[in-house]
Amino acid sequence: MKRFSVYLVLALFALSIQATFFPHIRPDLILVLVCFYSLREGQIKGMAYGALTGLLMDSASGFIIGPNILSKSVVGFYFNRIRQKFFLWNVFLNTLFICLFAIIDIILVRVILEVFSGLSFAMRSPEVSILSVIYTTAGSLIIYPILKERQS
Amino acid sequence: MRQRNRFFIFISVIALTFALLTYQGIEREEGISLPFTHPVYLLSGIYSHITGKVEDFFERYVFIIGKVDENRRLIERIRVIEQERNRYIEAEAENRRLRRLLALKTKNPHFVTAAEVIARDPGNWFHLLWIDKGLNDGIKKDMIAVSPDGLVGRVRDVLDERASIMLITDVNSAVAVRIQQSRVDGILEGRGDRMTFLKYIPRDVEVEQGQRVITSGLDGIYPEGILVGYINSIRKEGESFFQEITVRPAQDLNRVEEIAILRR
Repeated sequence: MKRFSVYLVLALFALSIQATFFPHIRPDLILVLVCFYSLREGQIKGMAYGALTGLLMDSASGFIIGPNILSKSVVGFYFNRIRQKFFLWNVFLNTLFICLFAIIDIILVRVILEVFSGLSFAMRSPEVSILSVIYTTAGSLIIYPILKERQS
Repeated sequence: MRQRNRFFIFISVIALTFALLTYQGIEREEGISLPFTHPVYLLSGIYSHITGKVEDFFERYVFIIGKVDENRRLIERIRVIEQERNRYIEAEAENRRLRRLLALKTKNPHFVTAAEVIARDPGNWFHLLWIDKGLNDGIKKDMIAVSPDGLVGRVRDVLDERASIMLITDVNSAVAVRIQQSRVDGILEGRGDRMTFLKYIPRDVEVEQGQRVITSGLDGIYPEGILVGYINSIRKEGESFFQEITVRPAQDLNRVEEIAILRR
């Protein structure tokens, strides 16, 4: 419970950093935190943390039930599942899969928004999604040693 | 817990979320979700405050303490002077921006208040700004946000001391506009990136790159005659009745720091 609370506070910090310091394209630091939490706590807790932080993220954008609850739950659940497939887990695998999950997250959010809200992002430049994935991956590289050190 | 049980829980959660989504649809509600976001924007406000203080602290003390010999002190002095100069340039730029806002106030009878941007939407899907003024300063829903360079958006949520602005680049945004030269009306919609999309301009209308796009006032929300942007690209695809036109906002919405709120 203590660790959950710490990660929840971290999520609030991550959201406020995203809201303050990135004027154009933002990294998805919440996704990075969900991956780390899932890695540490397992699939179910990872999914619960993903759903809660997704709810926070959606409500910051003005939704009650929004696309991030679903996408972050999926990330929280499957990131740990992927981890179980590998005997060793290092920074390279971690970065690679965070990059992969960042792409999956974007696809999920876009599909959900287009299906349930009727909004169309067809005209949106792909630059936004590509840079967002790159920033998120870079963010995971920066956060990895910090969280890894705290865990060990 | 066995993998099958875990998977069952996962599927239940996903199914429940889908059911809720199907039941309510994804509507961006106003007011209801704001308590969740309170800590985020509170922290953002604190960051802005702390950043200012830390910069001030570094500028005033850290670079001076611990310098022993004259040479280093002089180098430090130059650095401090350089920083003072930078601060002066920054203050001058701010002064210039505020003076332009003030000019807007004196020129525009609809002026309500000027506000500072404190945060943005934390995701990449929607384009929202949060400002440091709210109900207490006379801001109401659907008021207009402008900068000296052009239209920024309109007020979406209003709290006592804070309000959110939906930018014209947001995918939910639609503005009734007019091409200034040809006087042809269209609808400007956000694309979710830096550009906006101008719809319903007939094929036979001559449109050129760089032409000015202004609000037409026909939507009953935005007053007439505010500069929105400039024509960026024009495409006439196939047999379509309308042209595909993108418009670059006059105000770079990633750089907006202060805005003026106008009533209709």
